[in-house]
Amino acid sequence: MNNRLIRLLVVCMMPIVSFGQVDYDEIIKATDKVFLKDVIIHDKPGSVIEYGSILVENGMIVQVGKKLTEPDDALILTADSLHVYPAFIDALSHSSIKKKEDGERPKVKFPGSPPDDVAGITPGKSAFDFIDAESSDLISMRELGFGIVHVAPRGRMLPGQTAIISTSGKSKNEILIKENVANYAQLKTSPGVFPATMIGVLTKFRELYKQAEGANQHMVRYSSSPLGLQRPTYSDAITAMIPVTKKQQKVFFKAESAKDVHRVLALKNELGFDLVLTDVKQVYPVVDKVKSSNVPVMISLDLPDKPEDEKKDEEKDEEENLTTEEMKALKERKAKAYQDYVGQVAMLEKAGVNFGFSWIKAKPKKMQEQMQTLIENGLSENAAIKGLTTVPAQLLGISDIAGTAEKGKLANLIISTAPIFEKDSKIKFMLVDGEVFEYEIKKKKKKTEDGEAIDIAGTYTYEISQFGASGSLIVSKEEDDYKVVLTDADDGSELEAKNITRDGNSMSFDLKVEEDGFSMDVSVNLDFSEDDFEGSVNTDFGAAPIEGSKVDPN
Amino acid sequence: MKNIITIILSTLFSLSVCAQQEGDILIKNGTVITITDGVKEQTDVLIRNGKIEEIGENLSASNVKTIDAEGMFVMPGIIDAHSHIALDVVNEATNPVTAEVFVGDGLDPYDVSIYRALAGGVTISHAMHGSANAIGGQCETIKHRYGEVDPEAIRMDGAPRTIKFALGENPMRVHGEGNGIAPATRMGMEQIFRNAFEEGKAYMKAQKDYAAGKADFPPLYNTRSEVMADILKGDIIIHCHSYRADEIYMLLKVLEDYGVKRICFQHVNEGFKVAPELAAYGAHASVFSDWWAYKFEVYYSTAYNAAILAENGVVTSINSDSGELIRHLYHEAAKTQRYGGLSDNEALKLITLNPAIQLGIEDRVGSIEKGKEGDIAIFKNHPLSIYAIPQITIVDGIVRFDINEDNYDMRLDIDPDEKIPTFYETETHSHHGEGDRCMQDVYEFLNHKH
Repeated sequence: MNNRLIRLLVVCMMPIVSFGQVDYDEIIKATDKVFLKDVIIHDKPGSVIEYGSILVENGMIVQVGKKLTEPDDALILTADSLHVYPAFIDALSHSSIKKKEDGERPKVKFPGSPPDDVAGITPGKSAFDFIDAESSDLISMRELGFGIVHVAPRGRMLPGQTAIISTSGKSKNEILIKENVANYAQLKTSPGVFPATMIGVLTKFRELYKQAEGANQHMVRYSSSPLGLQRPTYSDAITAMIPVTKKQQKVFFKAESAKDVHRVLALKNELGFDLVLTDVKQVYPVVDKVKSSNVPVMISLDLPDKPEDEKKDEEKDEEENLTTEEMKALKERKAKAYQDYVGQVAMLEKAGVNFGFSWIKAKPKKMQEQMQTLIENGLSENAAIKGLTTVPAQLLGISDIAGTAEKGKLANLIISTAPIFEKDSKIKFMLVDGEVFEYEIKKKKKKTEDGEAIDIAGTYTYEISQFGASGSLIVSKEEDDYKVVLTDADDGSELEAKNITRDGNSMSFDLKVEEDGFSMDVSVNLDFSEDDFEGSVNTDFGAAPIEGSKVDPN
Repeated sequence: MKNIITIILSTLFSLSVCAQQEGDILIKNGTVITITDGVKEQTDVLIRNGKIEEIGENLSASNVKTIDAEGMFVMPGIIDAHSHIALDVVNEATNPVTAEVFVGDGLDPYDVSIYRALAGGVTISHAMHGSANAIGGQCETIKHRYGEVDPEAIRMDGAPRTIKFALGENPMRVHGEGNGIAPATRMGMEQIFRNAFEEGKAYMKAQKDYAAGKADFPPLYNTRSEVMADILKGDIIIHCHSYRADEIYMLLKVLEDYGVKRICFQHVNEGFKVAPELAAYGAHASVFSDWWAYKFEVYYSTAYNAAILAENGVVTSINSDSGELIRHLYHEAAKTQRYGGLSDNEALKLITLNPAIQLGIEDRVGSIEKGKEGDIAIFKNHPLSIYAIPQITIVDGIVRFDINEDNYDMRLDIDPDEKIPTFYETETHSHHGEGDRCMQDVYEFLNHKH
């Protein structure tokens, strides 16, 4: 009963393609002034101004408080009794960073000494050069409450310099807040060349760091008195690491597992750079160590599925009389492990660790729900908000302009229908740099009535979260026959469905997934409603839920 | 004020890491096989703060966990001089010389193989880089403190540094056949070693020139050259994967030329042909009891190898190189009694004191002696008997395996999303169908070439 193989196959076949899910995104603009009246202002963590007002002008908050005079030349937002929060700040993601084109990797004669860029060692590259200002990522982030995102280039061991950008703006220059903010690092190997293993990556990082220290000494001496000295000539990679060695630049180091946290902390202790542990998924075994290291931790909200979801399996097992004591013990351990994961952020809060959230791997789409889970498991709402506002602001050195809804700061505000992490709380407006974005509050999904046939042809996004797979699913109709194609890919590979049958608003089909000589038959059942579908993917090893929604043809 | 608190906290923290989980135990009335001082019947062993404090009759100690070993055999924890357990990475196979990498950077304290090794009485193993490269990475000597989840906690602090070398088919296949670069032949192997040592020499000279004021700057930091220089200085013990006598002799000559003394040949299946030469050089040998014919260069072999080497005065051990063999090294050692007629003590030395000597830790472990570390394996029946069953395994005075508390699931890390993989999936995933851990990670590397 294992899905690792499938996960491997499915992920290999259908790498992730992201589609912006923009349902409603209208910019209202007539004046530079915006006035929010009679709102509940959560201006900073732990503070609330009941029924106050906010005046925004030129993209900044100019007044916050009770009984403000309503200007007659401002856009008045109907936000009566709504909740206002400072917009969230993403501690690190790849939002809006263009995906690398899949070319063939250049052939390297000596795999042990590849050029730095083939090895994934490009600490001098700037995220700014890879930003797509029109990316739907920014629209999605904004819709989820983010006003500012901190982005890193994509890549391997040392992808490059990060940038802080706004989620509102039309051009790269308009959205850029700060360039070359920090260096991004990962334990990610370079297939086929050095470093092809994690131990190679750690060795290379150390070496580069020490080389940068040496290069710096050389350069300093040379610049003060070059006479008789060899001219310094160092690679881009070495030069780009110098600010890290001088602690002028932080390293946001991705460390998903507790083991990786240990490894990266050991590296930091050895070399002494300013570290931000990033995209940490498993932190509960290392809370004490993280606490005493004083290193901030950016959590990845890639939460495991709740074990109850396996109830069906259990029933099946019992039927087949396979439930042994051993399996029961395993289920208990898994349930405990789930608790460890959903309770670990509360553990960080209790220990007094400085933590926030990053979105390199996990997508923030389910953030609302996940935050509720964390809060149910002991995290305070206040700490959750800090982790999304003041903590990243302080780490990124932008506390003067963002992180709270106070006078003088950027007018980056969330206006929600209820306290932000309450169930059914929805974002009604976003203000980013004073720009107003209004969102339609979707009513609960209504089930399509029986017999009422809908047109299911169209382009959808799909997600099989259990396999970490997503992409696009296109349903087309040719005469009476349906055609279904799933695209997903680092390589954009396509899978065409076979044996398609439609029954009412349900559809089922088969896929043959092949990889490395393995092949696996997968059957898929989908139930369609107006704009969405949900269903299941069934394999010999078990089933996984699949869901998706229609992509706006515009 | 804040700084002071930080300093205090970090000091406390480093102390807690240094405190290597040491315990107190009194083992009563066992048959104690000391290795260095004969076998003592009805004898007690007292361990305090992780160290053997006393060996004698009718010992008593208050507030100490007591184990009744009446009718049991108490021996030093078994030491495996060649293993790849508890490692997330085994081979950085991209270069014929990767002296710069260190498997200690990729320790996996969660690996359940540690527990399985404990269940075979093994308390220390030499976690090695693989044999894809002529000079592979540096290795790590680990203590089997299963239950600890910090990679730092399984290192054997203070154990000498070691490095993996490899001769013959593996590096020739990976680099010669795989990439069309040297070494493609056994001649090329020799040149790879000589070049690497020359690199280390040149680097040391540049450092000396700088120290003596003859150069403006030190050489640009180079990890590989640093490590090669440390080998030349005698700071790192070489453990060399080897089979054929001609190549073994070749490496001895190379090391002689560069003045490198400390070398332990691993596998060394044809060691019996050059046993006197090995002994004369002071080289050690760590062998399989009876495993061969898994590739062309490993056909000329004999189960008498260990005995012949030992009789010729070579410090010899028997190793596992496998997460399976490591569970019954005591049985592997017993085979030298059938093939070579070694005495009980000679046979047990092959898995205790001798591997300790090869790893440079013989003053701390490898025998039951006052002052040594409290690493003990307790057996029902004599450990060289076919009926031997390990009962309790102790590391630094702490019970890490007890056959009576061997529960269903002894893993330390549970992924709440993971289903239990089948044996087939685990094997194909981690080994690509190959049983040879020495070549782990290599197939992925080679596959990327095509």
